[in-house]
Amino acid sequence: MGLDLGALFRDYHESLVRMLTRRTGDRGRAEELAQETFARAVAAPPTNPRPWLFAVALNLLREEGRNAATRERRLVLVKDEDHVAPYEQPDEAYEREETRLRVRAALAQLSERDRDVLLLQAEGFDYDEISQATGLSRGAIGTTLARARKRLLDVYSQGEGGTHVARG
Amino acid sequence: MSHVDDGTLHELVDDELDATARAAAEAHLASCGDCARRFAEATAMARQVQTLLGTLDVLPAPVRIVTPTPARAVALATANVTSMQRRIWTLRRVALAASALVVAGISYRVGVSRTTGDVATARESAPAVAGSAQQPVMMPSAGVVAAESIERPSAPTVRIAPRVGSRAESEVAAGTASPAVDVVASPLSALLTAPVDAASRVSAEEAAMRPTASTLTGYQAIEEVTLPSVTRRRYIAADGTALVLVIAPTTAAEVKPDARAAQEFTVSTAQGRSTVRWQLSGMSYVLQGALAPDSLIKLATQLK
Repeated sequence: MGLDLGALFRDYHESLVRMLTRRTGDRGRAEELAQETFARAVAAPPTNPRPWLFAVALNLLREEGRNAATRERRLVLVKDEDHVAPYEQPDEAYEREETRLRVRAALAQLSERDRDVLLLQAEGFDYDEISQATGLSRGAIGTTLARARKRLLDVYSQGEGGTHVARG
Repeated sequence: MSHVDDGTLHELVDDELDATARAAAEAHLASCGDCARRFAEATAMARQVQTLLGTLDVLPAPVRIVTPTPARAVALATANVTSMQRRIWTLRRVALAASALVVAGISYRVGVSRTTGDVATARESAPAVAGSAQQPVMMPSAGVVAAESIERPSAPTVRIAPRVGSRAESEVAAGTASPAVDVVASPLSALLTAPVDAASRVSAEEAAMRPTASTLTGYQAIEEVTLPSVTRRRYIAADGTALVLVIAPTTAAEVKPDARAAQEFTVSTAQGRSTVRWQLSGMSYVLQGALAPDSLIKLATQLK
């Protein structure tokens, strides 16, 4: 089977990088993971690309988490990607960053499975695809999402009080 | 019916229930204020989560212009070679050789050509450049050597002049074209203004090895270095993004068993630069630039 890599990129690259950026908080790292994922797709063309690509990307992320050596070189890329949008007022930038940090902190409180399911759903995956990408049974996904959404919002709103103190 | 559980409520929110289950859940919600309220909450939660996750998105950084000083270019090329060796997919020997020759090409040109003279000087220097390119006496064994030779305080000027007997040369003689252009050691602005003609020093043999399409939409070929068996061509776009294409004969060792030639692109990234490789008609192509891989593949497709 021939693999139309161009089409694969067009259809899934943006979404994959977005998901990985949300997951890692590091766009440079997300880009690299996405590239490795597509490289694997070239080596072994998947029949059902979307769940396959996201599953591979999440696996790579887990593998990478166990390999501190690779992280070192990725740190270089982080600086390049972090930037403040032009013309943004310092206050707006500050609030945006504050929100971002709180969302990240809340996301970190979720179990890995809950987090993955939440992020995949946010990318428009239906439950069948989430099931294929995570190995979770389809019947468990509604419950998982209910728990993950509630937890994320709970932790996020808990952080609301403390941050204002820091601002003053 | 008993109350609808949280999982089912979220399945309803996400429109994931089958028709039967959906009808049953909706019938219950219509008659149970408590569950109807929980459904509204679940809907709001899903929306709020989506919004919050959106705050994590980092906008793509604006395209950066990599200052094309030779030292920087060599450093990048060298870094790419070493880091790509660590990649999970195979980096084949010819590609490495090609990268090394790219380095050699830069080093050689900067190190040898120091002319600053008039038309006559330019004419004389032209064959010297071309001839030495066939015998790269300063061929470094590693990129580091090349980088050192380039980073000398007094970076020499490189002159690219038309080949003796070429159309460009006769134009120079007739006064219809500028005799020579300083290129490699110049800043970006000079690269952008360098006439394409000055770079088109291509032998007939090499011309036969070129891709069918020699230009990339939106890019201007600004420099071409031809070494034995390997051609390196640099393109630049109006926004300053640069691409490098290296063409070398495909060795027996790297021929893919199921070669479907140019249909198969291999993509890798390192140091913020993407590399696309493919094979076509016995030649191996490596296209590299600070572009998203999909853009690079699009451009590679133009060269097929």
